[in-house]
Parts: sequence; structure tokens; C-alpha cells
Amino acid sequence: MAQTQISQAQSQSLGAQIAKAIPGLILVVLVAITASWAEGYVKGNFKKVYEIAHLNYVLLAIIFGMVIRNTVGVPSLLEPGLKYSTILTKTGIVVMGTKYTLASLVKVGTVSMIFITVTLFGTVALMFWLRKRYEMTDSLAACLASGFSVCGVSATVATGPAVRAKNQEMCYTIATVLLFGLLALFTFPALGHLFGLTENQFGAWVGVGIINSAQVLAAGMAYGEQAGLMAGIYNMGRVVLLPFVVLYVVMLVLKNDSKASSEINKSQFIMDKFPVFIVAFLIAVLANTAGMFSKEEIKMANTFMTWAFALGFASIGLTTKFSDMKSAGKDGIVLGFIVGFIKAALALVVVKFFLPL
Amino acid sequence: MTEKNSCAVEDSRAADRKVRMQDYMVIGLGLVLLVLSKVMA
Repeated sequence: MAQTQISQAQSQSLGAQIAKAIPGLILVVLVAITASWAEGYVKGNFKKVYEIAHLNYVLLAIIFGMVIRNTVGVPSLLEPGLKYSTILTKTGIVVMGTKYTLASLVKVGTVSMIFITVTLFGTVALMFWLRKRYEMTDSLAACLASGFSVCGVSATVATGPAVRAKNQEMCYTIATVLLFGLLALFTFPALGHLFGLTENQFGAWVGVGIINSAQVLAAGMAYGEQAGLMAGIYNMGRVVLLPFVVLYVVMLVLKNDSKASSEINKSQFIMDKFPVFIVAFLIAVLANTAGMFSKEEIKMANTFMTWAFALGFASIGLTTKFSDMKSAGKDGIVLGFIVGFIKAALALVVVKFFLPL
Repeated sequence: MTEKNSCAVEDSRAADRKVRMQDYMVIGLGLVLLVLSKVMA
């Protein structure tokens, strides 16, 4: 899975691979359709189970995908079509912009941005402080720090080459991040109810407590529509900070090498790593704020968003190999999980008692 | 700049370019879906 995620983020000329991807994409579509149908079935026939387990199409797509991957397996012919989970979920995020107005973004506001910023940089600082107790290279610590701070796969891919991380170290980090997210995805909604979080509070919590963007959105949507929207806003807040966090991580790695750190062109570094797809999300928000979308058009956009997410999450499930998780080893997982849990616990306290949501 | 650092910078730039290409694809797809939602509604 981790290898697939890296090649997905790094792959070249995706358009040229479309023909090869069609068989795998058909499987992805079938899983997504099944998940969508199953949500209606569970909702209609097992209402209590649906309410307790939050078995919506998002979770069902991931579960069905994982079951297929880890039982009967996926033939190599289908593999090329399973690489598009990031593109699909990011596209869903862009279309999701029609659900917000500028006013709703501003309402989340300054306090939340400060909360997100402190959480992200605090996670990196905590990771580098704790890592002295574990046996690992600087490059692995750097990948884990940015991976567990911002949004998993993208942050790891952005950091790895800058700190000369080996491919295995990047795979390891991504596997650890996704394993943490997988556990969080199925436990955080129950914890949210246990602590009596409102949908807004839950969305904010998973927006910083879970790492991988897709898993953030999946957990939010499992809790409720408003939670999903709030998780989306928090996720965007984190994504905007990605280049700054990666720069901070790289500077920490190079702090004993003053020559190398002075050679980094910081503004170029930030420009290179800025996630430009945010621009399209903002265009959708601005268009909606300007009243360019009618109710029916927003409903149609919502349908497209739902399908982009369903297909993206089905791809994630179909590329999640339990054996990758197993082979990831101990130290990095232990350190990553300690930092992940501390971050989630502190974020829960802030969201529950201090954040005006 | 040392040769080792120069290589790391080049690798980093190459990875950034690939992620950027992916982002451009997302922007294109996203905008197409926004237009489609106006046309099909």
C-alpha cells in the first residue's frame, strides 16, 4: 500500500496510463457502487447498527476494498487503476467548496487557524524531542514528524527527498500514518459520542487528530454531514501550512549543518511545495459566495462530490495491505502512535473546552 | 553547494513537480465537475 501511495504521488504522465488503468478503475467503481447500495440497505434494514457503527458509504467502501485486497487479493492487471485515490479525494475536496461560503470559512476563523498551527508545529517539536529515545535515522524521524503533523502521504513525499530519506523510510512512514488513521477512523466516532462532542467539535477534532486527509474526511462524514464539512475546513487549514511545516522539519534535520541550512532558498522551497489545488477549492467557495450556484446545482455538485469520495475511498481500501502494516516494524510505529495519541488527546481537550464552535 | 546537497535539492524538486502535475489534474477535474453540475442540474 505504502509503495503504491508513493508512486501515486510521484507518478508521471498519468494521462498516458489511463488505458492500463481501466480494468482497475472498473473494480473501484464496482466497490463504490456496492458501498453506496449497502449504505441504503443497512440504513433500511439495520437502523440501530447504522446509527451505532456509522456505516455510511465512505466506511463501507474502505471496508469492502480492504476485505477484497486482504482475502482474495487483487490481480496485477488491476493494480494501475488503483493509484488514483489522492486525485479522486482531492477532486472531491474541490467540489466540496460549493458547500461553503466565505463567511462560513471566516467564522471558523483566526482562533482555529492558531489552534491548527500550534498543533502542527507542536507535533513536529514533540516528535523530534521524543525521537532521541528511539533508534532511528534523522531522515526517518523527519518523515515521521511531517507525516504525523500535516497530512500523511503528501507531507512525507514532500519531505523525503529534501532530507535524503530512503524509499523504504517513506513507505514505512506512510504505512504507520495510515495504520494510525485506520484505527482512528473506527474508534474516534465512538469516542466523539462518549465525550458528547457536537458535530462541529468532532469535525475540528478529527481535522487535527487524524492525519491522512482522506481519513479525516471519512471520519467526519461518518459522524454527520456538518462534522464532515468542519473536518474539511480544518483539513484545508492544515494543507495550507504543509510547505511551512516541511521547511521547519528540514531545518531541524540540518540544524547541526549550518552550511547546508543556509543554502536552502526558503521562499523558493515554500513556493515549490505549495498545494495549488487549494486554488480550485477557493474558486468553488467564491463562486458559491457570489451566488453562482442554485440549490439544484449545489445538489448536483454534492452528488459529484459523493462519488469522487466513494471512488477515492474504495481505492484506498483496495490498496490497504495488512502485511505492509506488519512489516513496518516497531520503533517508528511506537513513536508515531505515542505522538499521534498525545496530539489527539490534547486536541480533544481544546476542542471540547476551549474552542468556540 | 556540495554535490550531495545538490542531488537532494534536485530529487526534492522532481518530487514537487510530480505532485504539482497531480494538483493541476485535480484542478482541471474539479472545475469540469463544477461546470457539469451547472449544466446537468
